[in-house]
Amino acid sequence: MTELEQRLNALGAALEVPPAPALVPTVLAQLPARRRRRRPARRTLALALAATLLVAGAAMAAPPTRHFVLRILGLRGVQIERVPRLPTPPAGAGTQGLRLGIGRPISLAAAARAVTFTPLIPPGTRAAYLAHDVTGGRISFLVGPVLITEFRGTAVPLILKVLGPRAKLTSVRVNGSPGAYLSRAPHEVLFLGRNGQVETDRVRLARNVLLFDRRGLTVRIEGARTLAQALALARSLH
Amino acid sequence: MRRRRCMRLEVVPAQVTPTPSISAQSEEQTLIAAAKAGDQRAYGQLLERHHAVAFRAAYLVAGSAADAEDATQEACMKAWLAMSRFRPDAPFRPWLVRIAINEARNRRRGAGRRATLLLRLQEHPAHGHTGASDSAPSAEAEAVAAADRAQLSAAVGRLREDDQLVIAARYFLGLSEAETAIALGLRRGTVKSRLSRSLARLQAQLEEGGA
Repeated sequence: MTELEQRLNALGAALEVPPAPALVPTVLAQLPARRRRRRPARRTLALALAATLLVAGAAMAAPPTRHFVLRILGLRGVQIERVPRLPTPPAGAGTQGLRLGIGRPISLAAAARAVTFTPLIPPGTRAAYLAHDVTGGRISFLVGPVLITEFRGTAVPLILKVLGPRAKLTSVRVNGSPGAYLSRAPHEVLFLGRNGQVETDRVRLARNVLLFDRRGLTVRIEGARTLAQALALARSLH
Repeated sequence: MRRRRCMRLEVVPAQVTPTPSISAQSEEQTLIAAAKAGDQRAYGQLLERHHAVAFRAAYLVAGSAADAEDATQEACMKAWLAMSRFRPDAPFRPWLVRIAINEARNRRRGAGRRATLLLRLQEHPAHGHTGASDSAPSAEAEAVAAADRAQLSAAVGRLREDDQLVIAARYFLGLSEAETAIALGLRRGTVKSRLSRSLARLQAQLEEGGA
């Protein structure tokens, strides 16, 4: 080995690289089942499409009779599941206005300091809500009846959305970034604790939700009457 | 044999590339065969062995821990979906690294970052010097070594990405020549010649900079 190669080895050992995250359990939990017998390539592709929601701007209608875990490429921190029947939410859960669990009120200046990201502010907003139940913190805004929530997207899901057969899931792009619009029927929103378990005291129903990624930030806009309205609000965030 | 241990990194340092024993190789092939047949637990064991080097590669390429994590997770998913096409006698590690590098490149492109590797140095790397004695190097020696690393890192940073990748694969990820060929999608002969030219360019960079 030459002197230059020895120096390169030393450099390699001195590089600052974060430790690899423990993502194997997360990966295993999301693997689609594969049958033992060998599948032709086309069926493999069909399985891949069934397990992954591709960002294409088209409505995705997973068969309502099966349980699918849908992943939206590029949209982090959110896992969406399609189930044949929506589980009965706990008593007290409802649509907007009840037990939103958005945290405590906080000024905009304090909000920016309290989380590990730069929040996107809706125009004309003077206050925010802060919660620390997700890594890096969560900021929410109320714009009339519309709830906007932002958090640093992660590879590990922080929010689980459970869609029944009537809910519609549409792939969208917001300012070129991937997203999804959930509409037509209420879906369940569940927050996942650090160990990946559902925080059962924070399950509620939600309707008309736009989810998208903005430079690593996952943004959720809930309660706009239409997709167009949600998109307009999304584009107004700064 | 010169041994170096880096206590802060999960990946085995580049110059220590253990040759797998025959039993380790056949154990891996057993896992691969089981994973190809749909055994998720076997696949999990493969990932436990190799996801760290895939993450390291993704981090160097993507330039962001969050993107590297995403890229690695996506690579693990895609590798699973492609297992039926994976040759049972092929090595798994460089194949996973290749998918992770491609995913990392996609994210880097999406983020608008430059096509260059992220080479950030630890402030106080672990000492692994073995000389006549095992005592830690003096402050002066460490300062000289740190300056050398910084200079070398800057010189590598000025190379084209192709040169950076082949150097990174061999010296920063600890891949063998054969593994580097798989990880970078090259023929083995191409790896040899590209590495030779890359090192020559790097040497020229260092000499221009007075190193």
